[in-house]
Amino acid sequence: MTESIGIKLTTLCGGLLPFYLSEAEVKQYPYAAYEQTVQEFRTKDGVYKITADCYIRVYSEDADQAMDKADAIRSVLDNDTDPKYVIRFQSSNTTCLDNVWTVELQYFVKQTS
Amino acid sequence: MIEGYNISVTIGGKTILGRTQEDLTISAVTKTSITKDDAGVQQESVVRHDVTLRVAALLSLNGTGTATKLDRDDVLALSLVTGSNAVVAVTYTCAGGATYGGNAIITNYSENSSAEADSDTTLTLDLKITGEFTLVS
Repeated sequence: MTESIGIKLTTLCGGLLPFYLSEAEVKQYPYAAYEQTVQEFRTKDGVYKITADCYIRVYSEDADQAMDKADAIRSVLDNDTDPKYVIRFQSSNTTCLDNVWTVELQYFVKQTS
Repeated sequence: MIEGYNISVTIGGKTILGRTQEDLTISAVTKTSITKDDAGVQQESVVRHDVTLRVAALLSLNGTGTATKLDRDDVLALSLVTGSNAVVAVTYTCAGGATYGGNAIITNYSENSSAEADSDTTLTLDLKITGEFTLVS
């Protein structure tokens, strides 16, 4: 099994706003960047499960826009029904620094095939 | 160094689906004796060996079944067999090394499951070799 959690997140969220791994390639608000800590689980025949703690951060200069985009991300992730993945919301945290609003969403993702 | 996935236990020529751990234990059964000629030094000899195997696996089902794997239903059924039919042929193989084999009976089968959404349900199977555990190849 090959890890594809990042591809899955990008597929789901990429249509909502620019969606990057780790950091923005173009600093144009709004955008989102994600990071993940991946763990593989094995039987003697190979990997059977991959889990990840994922942090998706939405950046915007407008508070309402940041929260709206974060809500949109939550909606697509929470309503995904792909049997290959379990995507579970864990927590949300909103901060503002130098007039840039950041909404951080923490998700647990499990990939089973 | 031998990596763990190179070692396998087969039961009737099949490995257990989803296996995560396989253990071999060989215990020598000894006889202790002392005579005056031993000058007070106890003599010990090996009479036989008690050989046990343990396999732990994720609880898995084949669906359609395969020719090379035993799934949870297969193992559970084997564990409930009685009489002479309860004896199974087992091998213990290290890829690139020796294979040992013999006949065994299943002395313990257990399943463990919890309510945690991401915990894996496991089975554990204990086998005791009956008779000789010999070099096959």
